[in-house]
Amino acid sequence: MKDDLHCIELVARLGEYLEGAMSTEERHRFEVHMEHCIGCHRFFVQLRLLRKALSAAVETDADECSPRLSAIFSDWKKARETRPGS
Amino acid sequence: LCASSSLNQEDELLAARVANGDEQAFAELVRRHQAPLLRFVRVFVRQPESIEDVVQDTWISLLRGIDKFENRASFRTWLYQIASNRARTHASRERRREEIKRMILAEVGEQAPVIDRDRFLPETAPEYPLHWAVPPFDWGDHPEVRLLSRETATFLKTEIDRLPPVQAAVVTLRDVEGLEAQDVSQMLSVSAGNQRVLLHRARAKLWRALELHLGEAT
Repeated sequence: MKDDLHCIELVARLGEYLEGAMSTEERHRFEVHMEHCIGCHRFFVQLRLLRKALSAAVETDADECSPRLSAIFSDWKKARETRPGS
Repeated sequence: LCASSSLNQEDELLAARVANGDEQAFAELVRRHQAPLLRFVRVFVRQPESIEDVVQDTWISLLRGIDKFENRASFRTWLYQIASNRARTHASRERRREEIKRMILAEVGEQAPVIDRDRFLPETAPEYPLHWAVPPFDWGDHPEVRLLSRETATFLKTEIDRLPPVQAAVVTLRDVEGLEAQDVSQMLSVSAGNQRVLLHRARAKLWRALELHLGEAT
């Protein structure tokens, strides 16, 4: 490796990089390392893929609206319709 | 990020329909957010029945305030602010605030490294010390197809539930629900730095689980 960054440090601190909590010099150091380290580059790419998969997971929740929550909605709607001025 | 902002817009359209009395739109919002809300409230409330009650109260508050919503904040930020207030009130009543603080700090200070130490060469290795000994496995040329499948979504949710509670909440709020870092820090009363640590730990654990999962199937 041409740089002085160890993979173990990059992996531990990649959260700071991803969250934009690093100085410009440190970002540069990380980027130089990832340009020629296949393992670290792959880890970075796979974390990005993981985040993509997690954000897609929101739509696939199959939980049904429980009868309790349906009842809450009905009560709310009724209360609202009978409220004067609505 | 793009996907999460378009989902946010969909939520806001659903909220507008709820304000007009559309029950289906309400059911859809519940379907989307019930499981993540339960995961968030679990940080503050211990009893499973009480967790459900707090989430239910959140939906009641949301309905009562929906006419005033008018997209001041994003729908999700608003939803979780309500849940956060409800959950904190509950935690104060149960005198659990100190216990929660300690639990959060314990998760931040976990001794185990983010990725197993044996994936890296020892410090004393003659060549490439502290570099990858076992680099991440190749996920193939088009991993998106599998990663964005329903099967992977179900797998990831099971894995999130196996994380320590605060890490599960942070990764759910940030990566599943797409909330901003500063909102999540505020909702959980953690510093920006600790929020980052918790998020990175959670992501690294999920990455490892996913790596094993994808490896098994090929």
